[in-house]
Amino acid sequence: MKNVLFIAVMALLFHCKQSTENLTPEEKFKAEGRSLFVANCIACHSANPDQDGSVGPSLRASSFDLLKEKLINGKYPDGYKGKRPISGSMPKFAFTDEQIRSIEAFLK
Amino acid sequence: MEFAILSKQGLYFLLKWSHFIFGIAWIGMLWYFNFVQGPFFAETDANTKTAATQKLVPRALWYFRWGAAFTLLSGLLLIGLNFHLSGATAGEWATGSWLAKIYPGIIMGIVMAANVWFVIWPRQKKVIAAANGEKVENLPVLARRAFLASRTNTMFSIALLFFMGAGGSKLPGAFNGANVGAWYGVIALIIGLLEINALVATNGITTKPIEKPVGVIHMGLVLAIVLYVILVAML
Repeated sequence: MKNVLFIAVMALLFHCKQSTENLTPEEKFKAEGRSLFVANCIACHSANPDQDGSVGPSLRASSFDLLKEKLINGKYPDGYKGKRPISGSMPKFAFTDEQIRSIEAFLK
Repeated sequence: MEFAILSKQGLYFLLKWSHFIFGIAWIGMLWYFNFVQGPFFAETDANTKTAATQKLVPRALWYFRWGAAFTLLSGLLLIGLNFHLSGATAGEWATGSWLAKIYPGIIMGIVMAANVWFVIWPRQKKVIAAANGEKVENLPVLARRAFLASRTNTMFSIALLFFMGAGGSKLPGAFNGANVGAWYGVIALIIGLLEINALVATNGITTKPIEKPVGVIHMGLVLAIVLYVILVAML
């Protein structure tokens, strides 16, 4: 089990290293957003932004303002009507603006 | 009217529900054995103890072992469905925060269910047989091993629930996936050593802390804290 996981981790690291080498700065930024997203969000949301996850809804085209308010403060921005009412079950995340912008880029 | 509970997300929810129900049946019985029945047996008279072993213990053990089996089964299905619904590759999912944070709970749960079915139940069957008048060799040795496995499971159960609750980023704090492979190895090593103690040790410094119910509770809390500190240091 341990060895299988270790190989999986190494394969992932190798894959990431290879796959980001020839990317444009925008693509790299988007890839960073994807990495953050799959590490922190796919427990509940789907890595495919068009699909619902196990708990959370699809997140395609979420704006920076929406992401920041929800990730940092756990709320929707003023006047925003969400897909679902705020349940309070989503934890807060201490991402920087730059990191949130990269997640926004990935979700576009 | 739309029954969203019939969706994949609904199935995930229903599996969680069943995981809680089976888990409570199992761990409720585990705590009953360790915190209620054990101390009662230690001070009751021989006839009462024999009658209880013949009539009460088998009933409690039925809920205990099947609770364990179905908790494990629903848990494994939850892991599979979480991966499926994540939409991520196996590598991404395996290094994500959900598996990394719930991982100690998964490992302890699997080890505990194995203890129930392969260590405690086979020996308890012989204890019951002895209470029913059958001749059983090495009964004290068998009972001692079942006792230590049961105590170890009780200790694990306290730390396990901490990490079951930590899944889904519910445990506050940032997540850094850089050391996740090493984290999986360290946790497997610690839990493996504690399990070896349950399977091999009989008396001494490594069994003394879990001899009494209060000691087991303390060790369970210590284990949860130690594993949490390692999590903070590594993830």
